[in-house]
Amino acid sequence: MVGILVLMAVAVITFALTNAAIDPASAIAGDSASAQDIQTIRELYGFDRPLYMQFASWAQDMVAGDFGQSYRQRRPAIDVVLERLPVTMTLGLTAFLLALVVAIPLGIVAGLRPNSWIDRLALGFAVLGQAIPNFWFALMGMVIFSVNLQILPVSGSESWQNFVLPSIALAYYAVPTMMRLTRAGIIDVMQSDYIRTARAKGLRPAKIVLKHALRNAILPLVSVAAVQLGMMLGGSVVIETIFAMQGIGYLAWESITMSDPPVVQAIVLIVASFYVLLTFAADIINAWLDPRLRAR
Amino acid sequence: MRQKKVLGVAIAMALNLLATPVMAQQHDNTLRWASQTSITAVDPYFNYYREAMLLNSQLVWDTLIYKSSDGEYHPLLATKWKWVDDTTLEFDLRDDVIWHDGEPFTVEDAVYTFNYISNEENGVNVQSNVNWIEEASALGANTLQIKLTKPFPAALEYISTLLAILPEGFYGDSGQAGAGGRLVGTGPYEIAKFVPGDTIRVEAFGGYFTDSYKGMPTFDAIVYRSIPDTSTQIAELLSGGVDWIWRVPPDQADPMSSMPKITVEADETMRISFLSMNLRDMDGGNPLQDIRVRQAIAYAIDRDQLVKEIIGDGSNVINSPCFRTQFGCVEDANTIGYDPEKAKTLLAEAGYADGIELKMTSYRSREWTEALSGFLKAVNIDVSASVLDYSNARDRVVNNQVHMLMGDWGSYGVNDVSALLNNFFTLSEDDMAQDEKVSEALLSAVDTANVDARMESYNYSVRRIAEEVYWYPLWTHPTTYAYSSKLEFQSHPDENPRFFEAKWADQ
Repeated sequence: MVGILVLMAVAVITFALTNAAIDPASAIAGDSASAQDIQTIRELYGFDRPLYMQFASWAQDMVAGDFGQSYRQRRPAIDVVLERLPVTMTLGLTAFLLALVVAIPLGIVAGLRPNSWIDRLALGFAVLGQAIPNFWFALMGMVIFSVNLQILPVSGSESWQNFVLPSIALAYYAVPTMMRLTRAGIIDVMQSDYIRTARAKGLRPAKIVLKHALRNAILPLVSVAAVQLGMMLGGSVVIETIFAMQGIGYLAWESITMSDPPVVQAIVLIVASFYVLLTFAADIINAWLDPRLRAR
Repeated sequence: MRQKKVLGVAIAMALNLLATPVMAQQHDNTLRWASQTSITAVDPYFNYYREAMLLNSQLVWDTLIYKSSDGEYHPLLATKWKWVDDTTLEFDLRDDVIWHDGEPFTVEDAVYTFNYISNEENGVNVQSNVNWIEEASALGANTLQIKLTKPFPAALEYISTLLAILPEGFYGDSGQAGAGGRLVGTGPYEIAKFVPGDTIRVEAFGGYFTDSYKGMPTFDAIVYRSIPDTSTQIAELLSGGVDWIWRVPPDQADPMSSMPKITVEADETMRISFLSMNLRDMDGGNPLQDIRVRQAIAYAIDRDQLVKEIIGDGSNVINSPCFRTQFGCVEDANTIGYDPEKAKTLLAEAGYADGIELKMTSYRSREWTEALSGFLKAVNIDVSASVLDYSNARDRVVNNQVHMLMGDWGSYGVNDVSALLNNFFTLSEDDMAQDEKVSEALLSAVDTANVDARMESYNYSVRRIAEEVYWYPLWTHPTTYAYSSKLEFQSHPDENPRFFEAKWADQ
């Protein structure tokens, strides 16, 4: 129910903002259109109707699953978005898995030896990841691996090689937060009574960490990871633009700059749906990890 | 239906990871080029980007006649043409041309094209390119007649550059390109692959007519890719992923020019920059209604230095509000040069000795805008400049919110002043000067085919725009091209790279 209300609010805000910020008639007509050209387009597409009337017909169509026609591509906006979704999902899921594979082990190791050299190294790695702008990191990767070494393609989204650099660039930006949360969780949990008991029972350290400590330590990570995954599935405008990947982040950017509100609205609502679903999934996972949450 | 779409997304994700990379291979005789523009429609009319309307379009489709870069018209799909009267054109068409699907090209195809694009309900993006066409009809098996709504002397300019001929029924009932099942042209290359927003691949058409002015295809294929980021385009060029890019910023062109195997060339284009002054009444008064203020602004700007230091190679200062090769353009109409002391004197005479605050908008380059504002600041004209996208900048002009617009116009390569000044000085909402005399002269120039009368009207308009400083002409835009040194390529001022003229050096 809350999810549906969120989506309704997002729909209203998206419609209001896109119409406030964009004059689609000017955008459709292009940079070299005369005033008369623009007026003709305005009448042809119905942009001269009052805004509430435009919203009413848009909302009615949207409930029926019709997001309208893309002004630029003259075909259903939802088709335009779905065509681009595979690239963003591939990139987002790959980057997310990569971030998890790096962040969790690194966080565990750092958390088990706080203030040791390996902890400092991991924290340094995290600080670097947060400090370096991902566009710069992406361009450096491109120069080294694509231009100089020529072992990876520069841009595009045709093959798995095209996803290597963008996934690393996107993942590196997500790793620090996830690593820090895992580290903090491990430090906290390792000082708990039940861990002391487990040690006293003579359980192997690996079993203590992986079976008993980690389950509780990653509770805060689950919620944050859901948000990170949502961000990645929403498409990274910067990464997709730099690597010329045909995902929905790039599509959102060009639809905003080229004033194609139906596509922008479809993207925002789809991404909002992702967030609603992921938040719901995070709640379920947390309840599974911590039975106390189920009782509340 | 929805389940199928979800399944489609899943399959596409799997294919993304299994596919193999596409790297540049010159031995395939394929020219790969990239630009920032995301082309989302493959036809020439529901676009407004040069990459789609001209560069790709002229590879796939032909116009009735062809305009070479020297402005001369040559036969293409039409062998002969003539003005029957001021509002009637006739063309004799070739009878030996075939479409890419092997069907013969007929006069009915041309009739369909002109009648479809001129029908306002069909919503061609740039109506001013087509709204002078009244009707097309066949006078015989190979004779086409085009009736114009009114005398339109620049008609052949449009017919020879922008108005590509499509097969009959091309848009079907849905209005989609190729909806009739025939996504074909008569040009030297045929469409092999189109991924909206990403790629267009065209391949050589073996059945192209041999004596075409465009010549026979020199490449087996030409591939266009949309790459929005300039740095990425350059990386692709350096790594061999693409063979040709353009609009390289000057600061990146300089280091590239010393690299082996890369040719960097800057060339002038027909696109001109101008500073447009608002003379309309504004809330709180409008200082620009005083010509001395407008003159002061013009005297304050050192265009030579801006061109040399900022705009870069290929650009030239202009002294007329038009491009020199355009019909009706009077060269050296402007007599104002850089003189900051005179600017200060004029401001003082106008009552602004202590300085003045003005609002300006632009949509092309923040760097150019800031540099120009810097010169105005030096004579105590404090400019609040907003660099926006075109539609928002135009909104501010239309809504009378700014004193100045730093704008530019490429005229679509049309060699007639009407393609430039008639958009800005005919009392429309884009007209910041609202000068009835200029408007009258410009409109009379497009209402007659009489060359002398047209020239006289343009002469008056151009001089008055310059003398009254409605526009201060700034410079021509350069375009910097960067491409593989193995490529033989010739640029042209009309900003229309003709890939059908290019070839590999060893070919």
